[in-house]
Amino acid sequence: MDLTQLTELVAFYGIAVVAVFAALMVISQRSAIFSAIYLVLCFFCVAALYVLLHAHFLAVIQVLVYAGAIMVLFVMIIMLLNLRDEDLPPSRVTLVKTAGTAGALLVLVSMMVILQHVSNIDVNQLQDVGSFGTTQAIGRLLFTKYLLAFEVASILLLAAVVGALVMAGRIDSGGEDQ
Amino acid sequence: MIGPAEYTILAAILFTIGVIGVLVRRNVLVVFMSIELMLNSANLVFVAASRMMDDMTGHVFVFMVMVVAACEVAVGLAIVLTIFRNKQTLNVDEFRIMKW
Repeated sequence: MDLTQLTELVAFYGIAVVAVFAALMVISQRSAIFSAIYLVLCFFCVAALYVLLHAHFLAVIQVLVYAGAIMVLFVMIIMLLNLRDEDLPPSRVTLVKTAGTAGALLVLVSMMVILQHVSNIDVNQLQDVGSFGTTQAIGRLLFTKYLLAFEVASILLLAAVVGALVMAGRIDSGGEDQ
Repeated sequence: MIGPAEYTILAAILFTIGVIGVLVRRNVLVVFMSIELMLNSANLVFVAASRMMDDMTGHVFVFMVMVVAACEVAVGLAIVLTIFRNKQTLNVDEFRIMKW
């Protein structure tokens, strides 16, 4: 095993451990703001995994969109609503244990299925075209082959902006004209 | 060295953690964050498969999933804000307005 492969191995398992730890912290913190911080850490780990997978444009977009826009929105809303920490009543503890056990079983079953069906391609034989994962390549695809999806996505964004504005502009007394 | 199986197993673990978060937590914002976790695990599978098949269609899929996730978060948080104005709680057990 040469240095590149060793680096990739160490990098993948290191990032994977941090990502799983961050995800576990997201669902187990009592305060929502800590969950948000750990989720940002998880998003950065996923972006690092994208870099390992030669998806450079997507790694940057992941940081910009998910960690930079979506999580900023979450943190803003958490701080705006400013609630106290959540308590876990006794009736929920059994639900947590059941869900945890079911989740572990799900992971185990899916692991067996994945190892059985996903053929382990010899990664060393993969020819890496120089333009794989670059902005130019994905731009070319988006504007030629997937142009319709691109336009529909922009209409979806417009609908979301209008929807959010309509909902946010409404006050308890029944709305006001801007 | 690291094949698609390792990435897919990691995505399965993250997805399961997201599912547990949605089922167990009562704070609606943490439920939304667990949904984002699930979306990211699916994105990871797409990118891994795209690398292994040497086809960038997977990247376009991930792009669209990110667009949808951003829209969903914007509208979902606007809805949460509106409900919070009336009910002053973020407990999903209290969100029973549509119940007959």
